[in-house]
Amino acid sequence: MSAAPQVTLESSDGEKFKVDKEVAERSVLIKNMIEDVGESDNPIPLPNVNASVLKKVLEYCEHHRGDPLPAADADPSNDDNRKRATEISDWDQKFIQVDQEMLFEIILAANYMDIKPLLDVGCKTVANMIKGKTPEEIRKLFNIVNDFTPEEEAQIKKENEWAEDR
Amino acid sequence: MESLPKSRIERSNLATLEPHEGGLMAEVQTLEAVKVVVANEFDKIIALLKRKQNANLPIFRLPIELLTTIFQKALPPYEEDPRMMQYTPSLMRLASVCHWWRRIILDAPALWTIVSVANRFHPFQVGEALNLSRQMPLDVVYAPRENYQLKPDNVLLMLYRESFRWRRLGINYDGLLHHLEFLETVSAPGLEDFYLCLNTAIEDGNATFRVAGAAIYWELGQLAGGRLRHLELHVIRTHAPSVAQILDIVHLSPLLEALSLNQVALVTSNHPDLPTLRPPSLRTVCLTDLPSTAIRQLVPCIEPTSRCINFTVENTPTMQEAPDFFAPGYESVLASILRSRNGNRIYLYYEEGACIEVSNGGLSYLRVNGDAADRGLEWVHDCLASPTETTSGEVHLETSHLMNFLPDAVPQHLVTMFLLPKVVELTLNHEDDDWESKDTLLKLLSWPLRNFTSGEEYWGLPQLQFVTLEGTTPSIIPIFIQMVRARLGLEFQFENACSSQNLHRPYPLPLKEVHMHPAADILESLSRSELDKLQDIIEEGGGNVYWRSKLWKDWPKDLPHDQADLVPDSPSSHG
Repeated sequence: MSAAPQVTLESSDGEKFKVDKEVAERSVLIKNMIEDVGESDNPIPLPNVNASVLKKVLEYCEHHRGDPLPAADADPSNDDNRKRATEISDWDQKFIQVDQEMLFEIILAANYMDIKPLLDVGCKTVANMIKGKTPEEIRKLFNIVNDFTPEEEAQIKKENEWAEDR
Repeated sequence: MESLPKSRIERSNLATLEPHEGGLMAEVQTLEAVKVVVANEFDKIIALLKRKQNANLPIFRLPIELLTTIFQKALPPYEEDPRMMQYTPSLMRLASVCHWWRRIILDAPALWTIVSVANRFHPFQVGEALNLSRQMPLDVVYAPRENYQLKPDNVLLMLYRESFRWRRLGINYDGLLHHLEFLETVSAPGLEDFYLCLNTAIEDGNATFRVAGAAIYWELGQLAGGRLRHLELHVIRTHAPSVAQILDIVHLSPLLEALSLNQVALVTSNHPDLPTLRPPSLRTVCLTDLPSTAIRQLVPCIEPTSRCINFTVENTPTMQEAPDFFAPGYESVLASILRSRNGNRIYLYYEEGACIEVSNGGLSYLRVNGDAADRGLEWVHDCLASPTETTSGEVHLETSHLMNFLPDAVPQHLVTMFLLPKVVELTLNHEDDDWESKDTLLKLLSWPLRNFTSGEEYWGLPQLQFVTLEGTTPSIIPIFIQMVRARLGLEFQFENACSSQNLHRPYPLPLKEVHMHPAADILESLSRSELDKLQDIIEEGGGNVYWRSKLWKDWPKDLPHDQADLVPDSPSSHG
């Protein structure tokens, strides 16, 4: 039996990763590059992704290698899609349990490499962190300082007078 | 030298300044203004420094479109209560976190397309949302609670003015119906989704109806300009539409995909010739707790096409105060539902007694329990005896699973069911100690039976492959073994009028799986050797016996099989 075709990816810090083509092609960016350039032994450069992040991204791609690719025309405003907006599978939840720095790097890498399901997991994770929290709690979570002027604060307070969420 | 008293000096200084008083006062005012400007500038500089500090945070590295996506995912509707969401306040709260988020949120029209008026609200918020959404389509949710303090009229007027932008309109309202009259005066050419629930608050405590409005505008097909895709009406007991009006909406909405009517007091139409419609886009129809007279009129008029994957008729009489309204009687329309050409999936849920599911033009699932059996199963029999035709003219009956019926109640109907060519699975969960009924049933599975659903005489054995037996007692195993042997042709005797010429298929496919669970009050121990014998005979045909959800042939020899607390919990292979 012949071995599965492989490609080499090169991170921004020069580290090379040899992976199955099927795994690498979970990234639409890489898939398009392979299609455009044709198969070659030269490593595919990923100047926006460092080695530690790329390793994580490839771990995700490896786990989901057989999954059906997402439909390009999925309507996010659809009720069912909205309901599913914050659901994350168990494996993905464990996978994404990383520090904030890494979490945002993974999101940026997924966005750059065009891996929609991973981008979705990342965005859902951040959304779940935010959901139901007060502005002060959100600031504390992400170390954000309140950067409004007193004038803006007064305006916000007025706007929020009627805001009473569940 | 003696110094002058302090007060004298001050007086002397003041005297010298008196001529300049006007100028000095102006100077003081200028300085005050400068002080305010400086303070403001100082605040701004401090804020800028803080913004610069924030800009270095990991989350600030995300581009605007990703942050917008995250905000969208972090906002309601939440799964538990999608209709009562409060969208705007959550958005305003996110916009209060920091300057950058505020800028993104206020500048993203896509975030403001849900205009939710629920619980506490302020016209300012609704107006802001309408402005910030610019010209994007709107999803309007109008669901003020009983205790709101502001009159909603001005908010409604604001929303009505934007009706040309409505994409979804959801009204969950227990107030005055006259607001809904306004629908007549507006046009919503982009409306795709209409949901209306008038809840129970229009009744007073004495269960009499009190309505303070004239009427609800039901010409929704015209209102939506033919683009309606989802229509859901829920709990409308007065001023409900007529069957003809519903059919009119369906007729004028060629894109309609989902029609759901739940506890709607549909008015039966007097029109003698209601049209029969084949809605080209209709995928799901869900009719729940409607008056039986209206059901009888409506169902035959909607003929599902091959796109329709779900046609549900449910009757769950839970409203004790209005027994006539939620009257049973759906069974009378079953035959017409089943005859619907290419009705791909039909459920009928009859007072928690029966559930029928029809797939690809044929029955695929039937569940009948004691209550329904008590009423007689003629209606089930009628439906099963009427094969469903597909467009190609072939006859299909795709029953694959029958369960939960009382075998001794209506044997003639069971015979019909068993002889359906594709009945492959049977569950017997008769749990009382009268095992003789199972005995009768198992014998039915041993003999060739005449199939009278077919035109020509046809004899055959039920084509079962999966049998689940709840409440297994030791005495039933030998009968089961005898049945299996008969089905394998090892112990076959003609006990009825079947002749060898017209016996088309004397021996069906062998049983693949037999799942057995012991009776709860089993008195005598069920011997291993009996189960071994059964396993041997089933295995001869390539199948297996599962005892308490575990493969019997793998059951450890040292593990007691008749003690409930020692039962291994591995799942069965057959779901």
